[in-house]
Amino acid sequence: MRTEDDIRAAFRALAKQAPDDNDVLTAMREQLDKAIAGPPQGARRSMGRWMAPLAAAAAVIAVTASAVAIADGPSPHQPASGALLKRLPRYYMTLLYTGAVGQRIVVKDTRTGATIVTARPPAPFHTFAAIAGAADDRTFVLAARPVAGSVMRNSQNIEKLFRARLNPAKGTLTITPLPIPEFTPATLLYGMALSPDGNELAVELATGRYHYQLQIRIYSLAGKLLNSWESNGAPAILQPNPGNMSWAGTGVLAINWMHITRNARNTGTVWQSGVWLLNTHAAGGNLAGQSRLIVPGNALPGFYVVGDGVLSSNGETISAICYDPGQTVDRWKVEEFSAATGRPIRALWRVRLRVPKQVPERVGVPERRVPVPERVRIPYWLPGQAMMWSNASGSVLVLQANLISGPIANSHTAMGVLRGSHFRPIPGTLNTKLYYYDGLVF
Amino acid sequence: MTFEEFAQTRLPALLAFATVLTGQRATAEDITQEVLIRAHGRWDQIAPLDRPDLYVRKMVLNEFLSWRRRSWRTVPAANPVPAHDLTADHAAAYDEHAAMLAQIGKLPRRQRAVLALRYYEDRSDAEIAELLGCAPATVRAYASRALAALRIELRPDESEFATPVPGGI
Repeated sequence: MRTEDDIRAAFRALAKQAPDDNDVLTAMREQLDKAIAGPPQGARRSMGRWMAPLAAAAAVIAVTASAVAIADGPSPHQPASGALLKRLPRYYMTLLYTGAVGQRIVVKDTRTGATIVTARPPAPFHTFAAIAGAADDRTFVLAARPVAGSVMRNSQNIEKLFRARLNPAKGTLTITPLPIPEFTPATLLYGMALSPDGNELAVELATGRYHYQLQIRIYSLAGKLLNSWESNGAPAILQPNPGNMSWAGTGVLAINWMHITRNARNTGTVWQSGVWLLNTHAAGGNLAGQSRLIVPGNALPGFYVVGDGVLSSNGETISAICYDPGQTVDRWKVEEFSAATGRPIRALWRVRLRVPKQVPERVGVPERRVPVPERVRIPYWLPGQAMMWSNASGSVLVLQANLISGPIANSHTAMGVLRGSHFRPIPGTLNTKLYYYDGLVF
Repeated sequence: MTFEEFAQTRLPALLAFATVLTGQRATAEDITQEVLIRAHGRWDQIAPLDRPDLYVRKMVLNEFLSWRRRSWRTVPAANPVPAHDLTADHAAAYDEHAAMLAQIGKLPRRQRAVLALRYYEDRSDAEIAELLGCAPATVRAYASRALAALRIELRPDESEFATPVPGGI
């Protein structure tokens, strides 16, 4: 019968969306470990073999109940656990803040926070400006400038691309120039993404008289221009963020940008901002024509999609930060969207911040208002443009959040893992001089 | 079979079953995790059973039937969205599945459970009755009501497809 067949097909499709069993095992092991470890005193016993006495099982239930009560408010001092960190790439690279930004880059061990290597740009270059990483967490591409200064984009610089190869055993980073022409002030480099296999590089360039044109170019690391698209005369607005582009193993590139066109009657403009998907194997040409706006800025009712959407490496989901600036309460969400339809799937994390009334700074200068956590147990809030990395299925994310200390906002940036509505900082990233905003890659 | 062996071999199927029951990946994950933690604590009693997997599946079922929405913890999706490739051909299938799952989501939990056990797990009414702790006739009644509801709601508007009959009134 038709209905029964439809039920079977729908259930089969739904079953394919089942969570990753490793996620559940990892979370369960963490809870069991906590139960066995008990209060902080005493040595922590490993629960890796699962064989626990019945007395511990009773404690498990108690811990489960308490975990529910604080599910979205883990201790800010509780870093991501070893099991969770093993699900991330082992090494990450970021610009190092040493008075001036970008004079050095640093490669760190995700699991321990230990520095593997730091490096300066080869002479005569002075400053690293952007970085991109491949899925092997050993291959990176760096953009360097011959002059000092802010890493913010301006029209005074040329940028040269280098390939960096990490050898963690020796603690070395081999940096070699790429045979790709330098980018000049006429073609400002706004973002880069490496294909997961590390063989191709996507660059995002702002061109045109006022740099309001967007070009996407795909280069092989051998220097060959493989494909290119441009916004074709329509103004484009870009955000120079490290998560501005993400490249799935399916060959699909997610790009965060805003496309502006005249409306049909030529009486005004139509702004289309959000996450666009571009098949890197498609024919080059018109960017707006060849790509598809999959998660528009208003994709989540009541919210603005403010943070760069990151495409999972299997190409199936997009995770983005959404913001609802309320009169009394600001709401932030990390929302997962379907990369096929753009529809919201679920909220991965929610933060509500009460906006205090009668704060003079709010009048006329809303960006200076001081957020206060609605519940003290929520220790983090989300700035925009903070998505860093997604695992294959989108169930584990790395993002940047601000730690709130005490009842008055006193935020410090931390990079952490979002998994199952828990945000936990990666060791060594809290209150450090790493410069996440314009360059941090796995 | 140790608990670890059980978890490693049966967890994917349990998660799929929970996902079909709940229609939501996050809820399925929460339910399965809590059930497994409880099963772990009683494993010395569960392991000697003839069908420990069936017993744990029944725990998942009971957890689903008694699950209280924790709105602050899990935010329901607008629609369950099956994962699929980035091709237009899947759009139609997606819409059909989404429509069907949305209708199933409106059913009472026991009716949804009967549908999941009958059409996803391919279990007999007797097995379903055992899992739900009711009579087979009750299972058939649940199924009948659920199918009736789905047929009614899914039936296209016949007037929309009506063909003019020559010489008809």
